[in-house]
Amino acid sequence: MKKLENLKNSFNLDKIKKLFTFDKTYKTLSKEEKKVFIKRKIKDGVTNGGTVLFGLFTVAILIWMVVYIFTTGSSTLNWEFITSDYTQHTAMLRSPDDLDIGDETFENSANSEYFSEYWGVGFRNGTDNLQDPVVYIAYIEENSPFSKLVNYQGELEPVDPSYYCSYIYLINGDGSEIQLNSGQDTAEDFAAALDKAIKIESASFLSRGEGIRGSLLTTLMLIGFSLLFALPLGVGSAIYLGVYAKKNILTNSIRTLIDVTSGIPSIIFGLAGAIIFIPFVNSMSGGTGGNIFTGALTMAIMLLPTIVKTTEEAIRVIPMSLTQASLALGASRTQTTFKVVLPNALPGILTSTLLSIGRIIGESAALVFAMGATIGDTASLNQGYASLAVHIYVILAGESPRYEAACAIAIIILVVVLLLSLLVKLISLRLNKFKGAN
Amino acid sequence: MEVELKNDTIIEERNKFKRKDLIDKIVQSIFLFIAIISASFVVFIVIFIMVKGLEPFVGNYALVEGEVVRQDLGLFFTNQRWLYDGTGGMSYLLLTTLYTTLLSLIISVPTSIFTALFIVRMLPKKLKSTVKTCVELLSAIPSVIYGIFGMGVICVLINGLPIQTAGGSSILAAVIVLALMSIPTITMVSINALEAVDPRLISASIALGASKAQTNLKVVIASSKSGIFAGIILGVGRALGEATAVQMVIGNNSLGTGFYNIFGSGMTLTSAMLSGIGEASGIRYDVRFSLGIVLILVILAITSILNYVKLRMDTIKTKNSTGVIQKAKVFFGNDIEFIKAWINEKVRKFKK
Amino acid sequence: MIEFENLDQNQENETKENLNASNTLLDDEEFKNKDNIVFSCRNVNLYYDNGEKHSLKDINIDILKNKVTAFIGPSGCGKSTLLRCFDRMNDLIDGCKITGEIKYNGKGINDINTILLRTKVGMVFQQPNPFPMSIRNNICYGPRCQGLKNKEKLNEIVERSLKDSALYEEVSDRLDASGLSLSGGQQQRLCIARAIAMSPDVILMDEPTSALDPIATLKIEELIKELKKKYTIIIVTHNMQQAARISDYTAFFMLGELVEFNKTEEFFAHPKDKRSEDYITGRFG
Repeated sequence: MKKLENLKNSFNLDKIKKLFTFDKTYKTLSKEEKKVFIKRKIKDGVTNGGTVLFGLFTVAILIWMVVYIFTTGSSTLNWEFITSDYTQHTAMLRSPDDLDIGDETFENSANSEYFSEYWGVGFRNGTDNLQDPVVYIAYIEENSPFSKLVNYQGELEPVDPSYYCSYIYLINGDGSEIQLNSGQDTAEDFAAALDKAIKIESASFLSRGEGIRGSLLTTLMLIGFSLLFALPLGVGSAIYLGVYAKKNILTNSIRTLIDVTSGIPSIIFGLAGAIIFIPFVNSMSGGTGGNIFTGALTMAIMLLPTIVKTTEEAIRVIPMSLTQASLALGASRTQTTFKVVLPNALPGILTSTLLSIGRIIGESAALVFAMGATIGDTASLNQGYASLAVHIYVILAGESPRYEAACAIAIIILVVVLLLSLLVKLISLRLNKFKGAN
Repeated sequence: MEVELKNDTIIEERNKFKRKDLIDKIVQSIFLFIAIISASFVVFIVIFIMVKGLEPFVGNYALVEGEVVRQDLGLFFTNQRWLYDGTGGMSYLLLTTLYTTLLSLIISVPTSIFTALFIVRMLPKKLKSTVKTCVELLSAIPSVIYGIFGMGVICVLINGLPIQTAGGSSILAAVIVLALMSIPTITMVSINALEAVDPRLISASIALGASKAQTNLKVVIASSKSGIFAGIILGVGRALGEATAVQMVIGNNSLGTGFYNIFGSGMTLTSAMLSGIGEASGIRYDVRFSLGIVLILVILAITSILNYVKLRMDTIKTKNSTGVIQKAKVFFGNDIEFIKAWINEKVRKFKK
Repeated sequence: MIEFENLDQNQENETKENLNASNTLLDDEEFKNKDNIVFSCRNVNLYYDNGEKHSLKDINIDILKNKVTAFIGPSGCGKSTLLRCFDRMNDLIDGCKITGEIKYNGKGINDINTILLRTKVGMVFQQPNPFPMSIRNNICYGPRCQGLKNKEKLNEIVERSLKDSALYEEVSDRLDASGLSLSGGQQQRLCIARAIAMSPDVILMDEPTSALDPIATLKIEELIKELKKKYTIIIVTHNMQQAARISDYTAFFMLGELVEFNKTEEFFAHPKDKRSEDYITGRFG
């Protein structure tokens, strides 16, 4: 109720009326004055309208972007997408020679829409990673002939129910042969054709692929190693600058150089990582090309300015009286640094860590050079695979860009980055409150 | 006995303090060492890229079997077309880079300033902080995501125009993506600058009979010029150095003609560095470092010029010195008056 | 109906009695001629924070043309608030409510276009606050906002207002230098020049010398003495001596009330109210 009253109060009718009618005084003005008056009103209207328009335009476009990403990617984003491999695995199978498919029928116990009673397998229609229609295996009945398919070495190989069937070559009871292809034939055709068949001469099954497990793991490892390299360097520099540094040429040049670092575009860091860190790391490990360490070292340098600045800022707001009190109690400078300065600067360090994580997740150009642009299925220390952002870049750079998958990854990145920024905002709010209480 | 013991403890104490002092000094020098390492990275980066970037001009590369190739220094500056095989020229790439950045600024700067003005001066207080947070969040969005939006929406829209384009991949798309990317950054900095405007200036302007719109334009924006400019410098830096998003939408065509045709595809320094990196080796890979040198120099030059301009802005504001333009006016004052009179005369004659 | 009318009449009678009872309206010859009165306040009440804070209580005062009127009183007494009422600067504050009647030249100020009113009533603030522009642009700001573009006229205005504010000789050779490059006292005179440039009827000054050193203060005081020949001036000041030196009339405020209003000599020689006497003699404040 109170809110309603407030709303009513703020909804000032007079103000709105004034927008549409001229003041009472308008009539009393001379002709010349009226002209100026109207001219001015129009000018003000244009300026105000323009400002509002620009503001709304910006907000609208940015909202549009977020909405586009979410609507395009949300259908692809699911647990399977996150946990499956990027590469498509194939399985070429056939029914074993001694298989005798009798009159035994199987129950459609999973209620598949298209079910072959004799072979005990259900099909469903779906799409592959290029959004072309394909036929998926929906369900395989236990002990059914379909569960006894073998590969070309004659070993029993169960079909992964998440795979789709690219083609299937059948031999019917009357000796005729038929081939069904995903894309041309639907799940219904598959089920109907199988019911007539006595033998599967060959069948090709493909996993959907394009999962992001490898990239996700790589990104996580990259975050860990980057922070491992960047935090000690950054926090150490910040402590020097915030606690020990005197005003002299050395301090000034350190500051300037760190500032300059923050102005260098990321692709230059990538180039530098490629010529400094890749040879350096490889000379120790004996590998070739980029790997997680080269990427992490490159990222660490990129993150340094942010970490140094944020932490130094946090150190600077620590009240002088606190450090002086510690020194007056007989603590040495080292003790003061580690027992008073560092704990009080923790929120700053945390903030810089969160900002860094956001930066690592979103970085693409530098990592293409310094780590590698091959999408992997797993993360490995001595092989540089793509991170999530590079993954997006790679799948969009090809001949047939896959927007759905790209947007699905983008959703992950967006959500993480936005959450991190919100967290940073919350920390700074808490800190401000804390300061206010003092 | 007692005295000796006392002496012992004193010496012990003294040693303890000496040790503490020593530890302090060691710890301090460790931190200094770390700081120097952190600061020196940038020097290493520049040196290494310089060395590696000069290699294509002097080294021997085998592009075709039995044939030695190196980047031609003359062609590097004169050739209008960019190629990776040693005969390319970077002038077109440089021009496109500057051109796209400039065009994107033309879109993003007014939009950002007016958006900031809208948020600071027009939105009600409660909405203000929410919208501010939103802008802050948006400025943290990585560039790849702008690239997706550029490819998936902007290129498609441009492709829908009744003009022939390479599937929408064009300089215009790159310009729009860059503008979108820098809007949150510039807006954020501008918001801070606008909020720092002394409220007394605003009330002084209103007391002089200026309307709200006039106050916004003439006083609020004018007195936060320097802060807004800092945002623009950030935006320029981001636009010049952006690689992935631009590479995704610009079409990567280095035919070297018509960079002024915004509907045609093009290539910037960064996108040339990134294009086809997967299969590149030998001179095709190393020549990207030569482009890296150019990019570093361009960014260094432009940001230092802009920073110098900003410094001038600040000093003019506080110190008793007249601006460059004012000096120029004094210097050319008579000439300008003369030219004006001449033009007026001509106009009068023409009217007659 | 009849009853209501009676009620209204009763109320009117009451207010009239109140007016007569209040000693803040003077019966001097000058006040009887209505053309001489620039501002007249009747029963002005002002509330901040949506009525939670009652900052001005039943103010009745007349301001004479071409005279200097000083508002004095301890801080927080409402003198600046009343000053800001005269050019409706309180409109900018959220939750501020004004009742009663303020007339400018016989017209209610709410019936006058705010911008028009503000061009007629100039204001000089406590802190010198020149815009971060050149001296010339600072002065041209107001006229330009009103749509004046003629360069010659603008130059004329610049020269006239700088001369009127006794700044011309000091800055005539560097009109294009930044307004912020001037000293504090010069900046404040620039602000006065900026207000004069609009050729207002009234200049409101809100403690114009409180941020200045004694020499700059002296200059401003001399300037005010010059200015009163052309303009009506209302000045809020902390400094009693200043009020005694430069003003013709003095109004003493306390806790939102107008305690006493009189000719300056009379006020300082024979304060009628006990509170004024205490304040003048320095018992508090």
